[in-house]
Amino acid sequence: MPSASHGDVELSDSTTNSQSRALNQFLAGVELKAFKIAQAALRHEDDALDAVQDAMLQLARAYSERPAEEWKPLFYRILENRIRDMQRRRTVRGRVISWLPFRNDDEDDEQDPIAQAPSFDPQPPRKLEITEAMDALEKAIETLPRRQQQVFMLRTLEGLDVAETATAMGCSEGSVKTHYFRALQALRAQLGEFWT
Amino acid sequence: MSPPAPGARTEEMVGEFEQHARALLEDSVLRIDGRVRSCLNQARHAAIEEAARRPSFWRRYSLMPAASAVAAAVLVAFVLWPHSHQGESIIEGGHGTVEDLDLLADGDALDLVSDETDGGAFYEWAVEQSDSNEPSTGA
Repeated sequence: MPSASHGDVELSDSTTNSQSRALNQFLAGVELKAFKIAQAALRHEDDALDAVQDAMLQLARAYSERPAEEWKPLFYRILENRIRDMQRRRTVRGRVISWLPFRNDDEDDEQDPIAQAPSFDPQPPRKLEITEAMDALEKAIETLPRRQQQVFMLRTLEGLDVAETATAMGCSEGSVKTHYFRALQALRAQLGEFWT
Repeated sequence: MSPPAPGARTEEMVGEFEQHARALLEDSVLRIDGRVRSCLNQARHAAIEEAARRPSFWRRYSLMPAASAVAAAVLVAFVLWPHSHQGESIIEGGHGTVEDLDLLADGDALDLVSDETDGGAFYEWAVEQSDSNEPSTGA
Protein backbone atom coordinates (compact mmCIF):
# COMPACT_ATOMS: atom_id res chain seq x y z
CA MET A 1 0.00 0.00 0.00
CA PRO A 2 1.54 3.32 -1.00
CA SER A 3 0.13 5.24 1.94
CA ALA A 4 1.60 2.74 4.40
CA SER A 5 5.01 2.85 2.82
CA HIS A 6 4.83 6.66 2.75
CA GLY A 7 3.98 6.52 6.44
CA ASP A 8 6.99 4.27 7.06
CA VAL A 9 9.30 6.71 5.33
CA GLU A 10 7.89 9.57 7.35
CA LEU A 11 8.33 7.61 10.57
CA SER A 12 11.87 6.73 9.52
CA ASP A 13 12.77 10.31 8.58
CA SER A 14 11.27 11.81 11.71
CA THR A 15 13.11 9.23 13.83
CA THR A 16 16.37 10.06 12.05
CA ASN A 17 15.82 13.80 12.48
CA SER A 18 15.04 13.56 16.17
CA GLN A 19 18.03 11.27 16.62
CA SER A 20 20.29 13.75 14.79
CA ARG A 21 18.99 16.59 16.94
CA ALA A 22 19.58 14.63 20.12
CA LEU A 23 23.07 13.66 19.00
CA ASN A 24 23.88 17.25 18.05
CA GLN A 25 22.69 18.46 21.44
CA PHE A 26 24.70 15.81 23.25
CA LEU A 27 27.92 16.45 21.33
CA ALA A 28 27.57 20.22 21.68
CA GLY A 29 27.24 19.71 25.43
CA VAL A 30 30.35 17.57 25.84
CA GLU A 31 32.75 18.74 23.14
CA LEU A 32 34.50 21.53 25.05
CA LYS A 33 34.94 19.50 28.23
CA ALA A 34 36.09 16.53 26.18
CA PHE A 35 38.65 18.76 24.52
CA LYS A 36 39.97 19.92 27.91
CA ILE A 37 40.22 16.33 29.09
CA ALA A 38 42.06 15.28 25.93
CA GLN A 39 44.32 18.30 26.12
CA ALA A 40 45.26 17.55 29.74
CA ALA A 41 46.19 14.00 28.75
CA LEU A 42 47.92 14.71 25.43
CA ARG A 43 49.33 18.19 26.18
CA HIS A 44 48.86 19.12 22.55
CA GLU A 45 45.99 21.12 21.13
CA ASP A 46 45.80 19.55 17.66
CA ASP A 47 46.18 16.02 19.00
CA ALA A 48 43.39 16.74 21.48
CA LEU A 49 41.19 18.00 18.64
CA ASP A 50 41.92 14.86 16.62
CA ALA A 51 41.06 12.64 19.57
CA VAL A 52 37.73 14.38 20.20
CA GLN A 53 36.87 14.37 16.50
CA ASP A 54 37.57 10.63 16.25
CA ALA A 55 35.52 9.94 19.36
CA MET A 56 32.58 11.90 17.94
CA LEU A 57 32.72 10.00 14.64
CA GLN A 58 33.03 6.65 16.36
CA LEU A 59 30.06 7.37 18.63
CA ALA A 60 27.99 8.47 15.64
CA ARG A 61 28.96 5.42 13.60
CA ALA A 62 28.62 2.74 16.22
CA TYR A 63 26.37 3.92 19.02
CA SER A 64 24.05 6.64 17.72
CA GLU A 65 21.10 4.25 17.92
CA ARG A 66 21.76 3.38 21.55
CA PRO A 67 19.65 5.19 24.18
CA ALA A 68 20.85 8.76 24.73
CA GLU A 69 21.50 8.07 28.43
CA GLU A 70 24.26 5.66 27.45
CA TRP A 71 26.06 8.10 25.17
CA LYS A 72 28.10 9.96 27.78
CA PRO A 73 29.98 7.01 29.32
CA LEU A 74 30.35 5.45 25.86
CA PHE A 75 31.72 8.66 24.39
CA TYR A 76 34.28 9.07 27.17
CA ARG A 77 35.23 5.41 26.88
CA ILE A 78 35.93 5.91 23.17
CA LEU A 79 37.81 9.13 23.89
CA GLU A 80 39.97 7.46 26.52
CA ASN A 81 40.80 4.63 24.14
CA ARG A 82 41.72 7.13 21.47
CA ILE A 83 43.92 9.09 23.90
CA ARG A 84 45.66 5.90 24.97
CA ASP A 85 46.30 4.93 21.34
CA MET A 86 47.78 8.35 20.61
CA GLN A 87 49.98 8.23 23.69
CA ARG A 88 51.27 4.78 22.71
CA ARG A 89 51.95 5.90 19.16
CA ARG A 90 53.74 8.95 20.47
CA THR A 91 55.90 6.79 22.75
CA VAL A 92 56.86 4.52 19.86
CA ARG A 93 57.58 7.51 17.60
CA GLY A 94 59.70 9.09 20.34
CA ARG A 95 61.74 5.91 20.67
CA VAL A 96 62.26 5.67 16.92
CA ILE A 97 63.22 9.33 16.61
CA SER A 98 65.66 9.06 19.51
CA TRP A 99 67.55 6.42 17.50
CA LEU A 100 67.78 8.50 14.34
CA PRO A 101 71.25 10.02 13.93
CA PHE A 102 70.09 12.96 11.80
CA ARG A 103 67.27 14.16 14.04
CA ASN A 104 67.01 17.88 14.60
CA ASP A 105 66.47 18.53 18.28
CA ASP A 106 65.52 22.14 17.69
CA GLU A 107 62.75 21.28 15.26
CA ASP A 108 60.03 20.86 17.87
CA ASP A 109 61.28 23.75 19.95
CA GLU A 110 60.62 26.25 17.23
CA GLN A 111 58.26 28.80 18.70
CA ASP A 112 56.00 31.27 17.05
CA PRO A 113 57.46 34.74 17.77
CA ILE A 114 54.01 36.32 17.65
CA ALA A 115 52.69 33.88 20.20
CA GLN A 116 55.72 34.57 22.38
CA ALA A 117 55.34 38.34 22.26
CA PRO A 118 54.08 39.91 25.49
CA SER A 119 50.41 40.69 25.51
CA PHE A 120 49.40 44.31 26.04
CA ASP A 121 45.95 43.29 27.13
CA PRO A 122 45.65 44.70 30.64
CA GLN A 123 44.51 42.07 33.09
CA PRO A 124 42.68 43.08 36.20
CA PRO A 125 44.19 41.59 39.38
CA ARG A 126 41.27 39.20 39.95
CA LYS A 127 41.45 37.83 36.41
CA LEU A 128 45.19 37.40 36.76
CA GLU A 129 44.73 35.57 40.02
CA ILE A 130 42.23 33.17 38.43
CA THR A 131 44.50 32.63 35.44
CA GLU A 132 47.42 31.79 37.74
CA ALA A 133 45.31 29.40 39.79
CA MET A 134 44.02 27.79 36.61
CA ASP A 135 47.51 27.38 35.19
CA ALA A 136 48.70 25.87 38.46
CA LEU A 137 45.77 23.47 38.52
CA GLU A 138 46.30 22.41 34.91
CA LYS A 139 50.00 21.84 35.51
CA ALA A 140 49.26 19.84 38.66
CA ILE A 141 46.69 17.72 36.79
CA GLU A 142 49.27 17.02 34.09
CA THR A 143 51.63 15.58 36.70
CA LEU A 144 49.06 13.07 37.96
CA PRO A 145 49.32 9.42 36.89
CA ARG A 146 47.11 8.78 33.88
CA ARG A 147 44.29 6.94 35.71
CA GLN A 148 44.13 9.53 38.48
CA GLN A 149 44.07 12.32 35.92
CA GLN A 150 41.34 10.56 34.01
CA VAL A 151 39.12 9.96 37.01
CA PHE A 152 39.64 13.48 38.34
CA MET A 153 38.67 15.10 35.02
CA LEU A 154 35.66 12.88 34.47
CA ARG A 155 34.34 13.35 38.00
CA THR A 156 35.17 17.00 38.54
CA LEU A 157 34.84 18.57 35.12
CA GLU A 158 32.34 16.32 33.40
CA GLY A 159 30.42 15.52 36.57
CA LEU A 160 30.09 11.80 35.91
CA ASP A 161 29.05 9.75 38.92
CA VAL A 162 31.10 6.80 40.16
CA ALA A 163 29.22 4.21 38.07
CA GLU A 164 29.43 6.26 34.87
CA THR A 165 33.11 6.95 35.47
CA ALA A 166 33.74 3.24 35.98
CA THR A 167 32.00 2.50 32.66
CA ALA A 168 33.98 5.20 30.88
CA MET A 169 37.26 3.95 32.32
CA GLY A 170 36.48 0.26 32.02
CA CYS A 171 37.24 -0.46 35.68
CA SER A 172 35.40 -1.16 38.93
CA GLU A 173 33.65 1.48 41.01
CA GLY A 174 36.03 0.74 43.88
CA SER A 175 38.96 1.50 41.61
CA VAL A 176 37.36 4.79 40.60
CA LYS A 177 36.98 5.79 44.25
CA THR A 178 40.58 4.89 45.03
CA HIS A 179 41.99 6.79 42.04
CA TYR A 180 39.83 9.80 42.78
CA PHE A 181 40.85 9.93 46.43
CA ARG A 182 44.54 9.71 45.51
CA ALA A 183 44.15 12.37 42.84
CA LEU A 184 42.54 14.74 45.32
CA GLN A 185 45.28 14.10 47.87
CA ALA A 186 48.04 14.70 45.31
CA LEU A 187 46.45 17.87 44.00
CA ARG A 188 45.79 19.26 47.45
CA ALA A 189 49.40 18.59 48.40
CA GLN A 190 50.61 20.44 45.32
CA LEU A 191 48.12 23.28 45.25
CA GLY A 192 47.73 24.04 48.92
CA GLU A 193 49.11 27.55 48.49
CA PHE A 194 46.45 28.46 45.91
CA TRP A 195 43.61 27.25 48.04
CA THR A 196 44.46 28.84 51.41
CA MET B 1 28.39 24.34 70.33
CA SER B 2 31.05 21.66 69.99
CA PRO B 3 33.80 21.99 67.34
CA PRO B 4 33.43 19.77 64.24
CA ALA B 5 35.15 16.37 64.34
CA PRO B 6 38.52 16.14 62.48
CA GLY B 7 37.03 13.77 59.88
CA ALA B 8 34.21 16.16 59.14
CA ARG B 9 36.67 19.03 58.78
CA THR B 10 38.72 17.01 56.26
CA GLU B 11 35.61 16.18 54.25
CA GLU B 12 34.66 19.83 54.28
CA MET B 13 38.12 20.81 53.02
CA VAL B 14 37.97 18.18 50.28
CA GLY B 15 34.54 19.45 49.30
CA GLU B 16 35.85 23.03 49.11
CA PHE B 17 38.82 21.86 47.11
CA GLU B 18 36.61 20.03 44.64
CA GLN B 19 34.33 23.01 44.25
CA HIS B 20 37.23 25.36 43.66
CA ALA B 21 38.83 22.97 41.16
CA ARG B 22 35.52 22.51 39.35
CA ALA B 23 34.97 26.25 39.13
CA LEU B 24 38.45 26.79 37.73
CA LEU B 25 38.12 23.99 35.19
CA GLU B 26 34.74 25.25 34.04
CA ASP B 27 36.24 28.71 33.69
CA SER B 28 39.05 27.27 31.60
CA VAL B 29 36.46 25.61 29.35
CA LEU B 30 34.80 28.98 28.78
CA ARG B 31 38.16 30.41 27.75
CA ILE B 32 38.73 27.93 24.93
CA ASP B 33 39.58 29.97 21.85
CA GLY B 34 37.57 30.43 18.66
CA ARG B 35 39.77 28.24 16.47
CA VAL B 36 39.26 25.21 18.69
CA ARG B 37 35.53 25.90 18.99
CA SER B 38 35.27 26.15 15.21
CA CYS B 39 37.15 22.85 14.72
CA LEU B 40 34.93 21.12 17.27
CA ASN B 41 31.85 22.50 15.58
CA GLN B 42 32.97 21.11 12.23
CA ALA B 43 33.80 17.76 13.81
CA ARG B 44 30.35 17.62 15.38
CA HIS B 45 28.60 18.30 12.08
CA ALA B 46 30.73 15.65 10.37
CA ALA B 47 29.74 13.14 13.06
CA ILE B 48 26.05 13.97 12.71
CA GLU B 49 26.23 13.58 8.93
CA GLU B 50 27.93 10.26 9.47
CA ALA B 51 25.13 9.10 11.77
CA ALA B 52 22.46 10.30 9.31
CA ARG B 53 24.17 8.49 6.42
CA ARG B 54 23.78 5.17 8.17
CA PRO B 55 20.47 3.43 7.51
CA SER B 56 18.26 3.97 10.50
CA PHE B 57 17.01 1.23 12.75
CA TRP B 58 13.51 1.43 11.27
CA ARG B 59 14.73 1.57 7.68
CA ARG B 60 17.00 -1.41 8.20
CA TYR B 61 14.28 -3.43 9.83
CA SER B 62 11.69 -2.45 7.22
CA LEU B 63 13.64 -4.73 4.84
CA MET B 64 13.22 -7.65 7.21
CA PRO B 65 10.06 -9.15 5.59
CA ALA B 66 11.66 -9.17 2.12
CA ALA B 67 14.89 -10.63 3.49
CA SER B 68 12.92 -13.27 5.39
CA ALA B 69 10.98 -14.24 2.25
CA VAL B 70 14.20 -14.65 0.25
CA ALA B 71 15.78 -16.69 3.04
CA ALA B 72 12.69 -18.91 3.26
CA ALA B 73 12.71 -19.47 -0.53
CA VAL B 74 16.39 -20.45 -0.44
CA LEU B 75 15.74 -22.81 2.47
CA VAL B 76 12.78 -24.47 0.71
CA ALA B 77 14.82 -24.89 -2.49
CA PHE B 78 17.66 -26.42 -0.50
CA VAL B 79 15.35 -28.85 1.29
CA LEU B 80 13.49 -29.87 -1.88
CA TRP B 81 16.53 -30.21 -4.16
CA PRO B 82 17.48 -33.88 -3.35
CA HIS B 83 13.89 -35.03 -4.08
CA SER B 84 14.29 -34.16 -7.77
CA HIS B 85 16.85 -37.00 -8.03
CA GLN B 86 14.67 -39.63 -6.36
CA GLY B 87 15.43 -43.13 -7.58
CA GLU B 88 19.09 -42.37 -8.09
CA SER B 89 21.32 -43.33 -5.26
CA ILE B 90 23.64 -40.71 -3.89
CA ILE B 91 26.65 -42.80 -4.89
CA GLU B 92 25.38 -43.28 -8.42
CA GLY B 93 24.49 -39.62 -8.77
CA GLY B 94 27.84 -38.57 -7.47
CA HIS B 95 29.81 -41.13 -9.43
CA GLY B 96 31.02 -38.72 -12.10
CA THR B 97 32.03 -36.20 -9.50
CA VAL B 98 34.01 -38.75 -7.52
CA GLU B 99 35.78 -39.82 -10.73
CA ASP B 100 36.63 -36.19 -11.51
CA LEU B 101 38.03 -35.76 -8.04
CA ASP B 102 40.18 -38.84 -8.54
CA LEU B 103 41.52 -37.42 -11.76
CA LEU B 104 42.31 -34.09 -10.12
CA ALA B 105 44.01 -35.77 -7.18
CA ASP B 106 46.06 -37.98 -9.48
CA GLY B 107 49.49 -36.48 -10.05
CA ASP B 108 49.97 -38.33 -13.40
CA ALA B 109 46.77 -36.92 -14.79
CA LEU B 110 47.93 -33.38 -13.95
CA ASP B 111 51.26 -34.10 -15.62
CA LEU B 112 49.35 -35.17 -18.69
CA VAL B 113 47.39 -31.93 -18.70
CA SER B 114 50.55 -29.86 -18.45
CA ASP B 115 52.51 -31.94 -20.97
CA GLU B 116 52.89 -29.68 -23.99
CA THR B 117 55.41 -31.87 -25.86
CA ASP B 118 52.72 -34.43 -26.49
CA GLY B 119 51.02 -31.96 -28.84
CA GLY B 120 47.58 -32.93 -27.52
CA ALA B 121 47.82 -36.43 -28.99
CA PHE B 122 46.25 -37.96 -25.92
CA TYR B 123 43.21 -35.71 -26.15
CA GLU B 124 42.76 -36.48 -29.83
CA TRP B 125 42.94 -40.16 -29.03
CA ALA B 126 40.47 -39.77 -26.16
CA VAL B 127 38.00 -37.95 -28.42
CA GLU B 128 38.29 -40.67 -31.07
CA GLN B 129 37.72 -43.31 -28.43
CA SER B 130 34.61 -41.63 -27.13
CA ASP B 131 33.27 -41.13 -30.70
CA SER B 132 33.78 -44.81 -31.52
CA ASN B 133 32.07 -45.87 -28.29
CA GLU B 134 28.95 -43.83 -29.03
CA PRO B 135 26.08 -45.88 -30.48
CA SER B 136 25.49 -45.29 -34.13
CA THR B 137 22.58 -42.99 -34.96
CA GLY B 138 22.01 -44.89 -38.14
CA ALA B 139 22.62 -41.87 -40.41
